[in-house]
Amino acid sequence: MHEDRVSLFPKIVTILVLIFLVAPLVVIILASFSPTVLVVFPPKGFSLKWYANIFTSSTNFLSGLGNSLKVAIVATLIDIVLGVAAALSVTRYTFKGKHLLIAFFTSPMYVPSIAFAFVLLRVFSMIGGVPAYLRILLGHSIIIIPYIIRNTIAVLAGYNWLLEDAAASLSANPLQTFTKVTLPLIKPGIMAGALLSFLYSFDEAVLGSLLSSPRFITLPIRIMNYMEFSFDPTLAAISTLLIVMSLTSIVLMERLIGLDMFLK
Amino acid sequence: MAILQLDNLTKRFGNFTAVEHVSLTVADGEMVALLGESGCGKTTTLRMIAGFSEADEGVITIDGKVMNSIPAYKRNVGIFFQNYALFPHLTAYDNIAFGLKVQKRDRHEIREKVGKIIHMVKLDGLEKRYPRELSGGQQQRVALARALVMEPSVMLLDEPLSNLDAKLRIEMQEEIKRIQRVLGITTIIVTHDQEEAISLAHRVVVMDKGKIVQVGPPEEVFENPCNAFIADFMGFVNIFEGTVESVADGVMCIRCMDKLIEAEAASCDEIVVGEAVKLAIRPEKLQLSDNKNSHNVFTGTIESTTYKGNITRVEISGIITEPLFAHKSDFYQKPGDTIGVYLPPDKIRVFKTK
Repeated sequence: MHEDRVSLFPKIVTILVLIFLVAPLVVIILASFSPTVLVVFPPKGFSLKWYANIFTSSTNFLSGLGNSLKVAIVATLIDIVLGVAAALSVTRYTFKGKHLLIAFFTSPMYVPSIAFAFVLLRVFSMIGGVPAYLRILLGHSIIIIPYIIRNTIAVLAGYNWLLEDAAASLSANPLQTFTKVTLPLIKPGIMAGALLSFLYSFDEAVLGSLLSSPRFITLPIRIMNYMEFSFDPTLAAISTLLIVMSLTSIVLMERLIGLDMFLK
Repeated sequence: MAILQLDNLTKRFGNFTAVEHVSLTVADGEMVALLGESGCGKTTTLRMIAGFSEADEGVITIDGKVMNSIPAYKRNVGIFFQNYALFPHLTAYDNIAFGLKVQKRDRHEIREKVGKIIHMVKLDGLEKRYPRELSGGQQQRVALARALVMEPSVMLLDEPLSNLDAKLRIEMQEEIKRIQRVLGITTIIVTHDQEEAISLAHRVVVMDKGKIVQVGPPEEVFENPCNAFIADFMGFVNIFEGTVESVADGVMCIRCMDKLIEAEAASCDEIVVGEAVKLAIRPEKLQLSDNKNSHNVFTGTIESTTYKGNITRVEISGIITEPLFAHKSDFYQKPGDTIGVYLPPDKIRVFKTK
């Protein structure tokens, strides 16, 4: 073992960055337990009433949560199928315009979501009669697919394609080769992409606000609407729950597949 | 057990012809080595037999059955990959059982067959290890067992020993030979190592630029290569040019600069007087001690000596344009010494200069 001495300046910078990242979260979490309506810091006392408030029907947070989950889960599942197929085809074969195609597949990441939402809104109003759930689902399916495609391509870049030949020589047909060899080996990349996609969709507000209808509103929009006429710690409480949910899913994923996948 | 036939096999990649009109019959239980430098088409030939790559022309048959349009997974051709291509997410046991499980064989049958093959390749006790937990040699045994357990009609080995250190190489070479002879599987081994080809195979096929240039038993290819290229490949380190002065009674007289060298006329080529030829002789066949021969004895100067353990490599200049190399054991003369060199006429091979 050799000793690594880190000089003072990088240490200070690291600590400042950590404070900058964590402090707002700490403030929100502390505020969520505040007994007073006005968020004061440090909080005077401890209360869970704002958490209770989340579950009252007046906030509509629960229906929003249900809608958001419905969109995020279904969109992610659809995109796993489409994204993995796309990633496999652009990595397995060499053809003209391959890099163009990859750029195209990941382009939704670079198009401003407000512009994209506007275009979708026009298209849907031209068609007419498309339910809000389908509108948001389709929109989200498009904007989150780059995360799955990019992560799957990243894991496929290190994949030994000879394994597929080996499987074939052992009498596995193409489907068996995929399910027994390729899929298990690229699963970490797919799962990492799926988690990012899911969290993106769950949190998405721009498409959600433009494409929703009074009968179908996602959680971020519910929160925004609530914010418009009241600014009590209920927001801090729901925010805390969402932070916990995100962290839990990342920790779970880390336990299941290893966090290094996220660093690719 | 099967007979493998390649008839006029050709494969092109764009303008590049990787394999050109290759025809070869491998007898039942025979082990044939495809020998050549990288890029000579040997691996491409292997991939066509396995079904990973489609032949542009020609026919592949196993026991008379045309294989060309049959996908790899239905061919029952076992393949051993240079880098083993073990499934990293499966244990040694599951790697070996993979094919049988895919075929949905009976559970007891799988256990029995896998157990037997594990014993045969001496992997007992390592069944539960993952490939990354195995040494190179052990990984290789898993790869071999994985292919053999399927009882393939033809077995293909792609550079099987190139990733091993010297000691393990010799051990695995014996192992592969033993298993192949015991099971009697028709086998093709692809290699760029002449020593490996010669010690393993019943027959050696030398390939160059996509074509077969010589086929024969190991001794024949080793002793009597058909051209200077194969000679070079087979360890004829000393190759130099000359002109034929006379041919009489099976002895050729060849002029190299001011020297007249005699060679016995055993050669693949028909050689006539006045022709430009290449002469080849192995470094271990040069005799350096004083001897009583009147022909083919020349005096040179030792340029350098390199001690290699079992032999010393001696570089001798001043005889022909190029330095000559000799391999000798127990050699104690020093650079700068003059030395007598005898080229035994029966050890010299003569080829046409093309």
